[in-house]
Amino acid sequence: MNAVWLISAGIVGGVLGGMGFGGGTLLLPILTFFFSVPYKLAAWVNLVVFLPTAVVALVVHSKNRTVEWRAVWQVIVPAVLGLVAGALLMGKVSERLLRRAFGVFLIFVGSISVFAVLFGFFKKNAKN
Amino acid sequence: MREKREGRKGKIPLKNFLKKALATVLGALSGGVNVLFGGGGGMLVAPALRYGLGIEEKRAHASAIAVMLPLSTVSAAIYTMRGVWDVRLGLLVGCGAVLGGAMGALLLKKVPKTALSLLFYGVMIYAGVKFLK
Repeated sequence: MNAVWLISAGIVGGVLGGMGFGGGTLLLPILTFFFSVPYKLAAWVNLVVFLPTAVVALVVHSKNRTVEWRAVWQVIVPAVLGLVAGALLMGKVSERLLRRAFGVFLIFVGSISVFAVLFGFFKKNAKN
Repeated sequence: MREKREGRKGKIPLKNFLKKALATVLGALSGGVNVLFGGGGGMLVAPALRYGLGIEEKRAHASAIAVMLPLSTVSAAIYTMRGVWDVRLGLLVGCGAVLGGAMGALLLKKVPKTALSLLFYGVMIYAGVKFLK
């Protein structure tokens, strides 16, 4: 695979992530469709490349005191339980099923987000 | 506004309970989704913090990173232990992601957020449809 193109794919994912969109939700499709990376490997790449940027972002945010640690704990505890359940399920699910399930997830979250954005937009304009 | 709120006082505990339940369910889903799909957990954690725990948008995004960092670290470790990894691929895409991350943070204040959000979610839905095949 061409190195320059792979770096470009990372830039696209990074820019979206840096702007606060879920960068991975696009990096995963880019890697699987344009680079034919097997889904599980693309998943690993997506998880790993998020880490350095996240560390820097977290340091900056916690210095600015924008992290609500109490809330973080409230979400992290159930999230760890979900992670354990997901990890146990992982070996039992085929790559094909994972891709489809992720497709459903993207459509579902994407649609809700569209409504949320439109709703927020009209609400804001109605106020002004 | 204030009177209205006081009038509804009796309903507030139930509403708070439901909101906390929403945050808990979304949190649990985010952990599972993130390890199974290799991402997307943040898309659930941000609304859990915002709508479930009532945290304002910017702070919710910042706090979501604090949730996602340990989750993604552990998830990535699980993949690696299962033999799913590729150093070259990780390094190349990773270099791009670090560069892009800085660009994104700088660009954030200069772009029309609503239009960009809609474009982003549109592409996301399109990618979702492609994954179904």
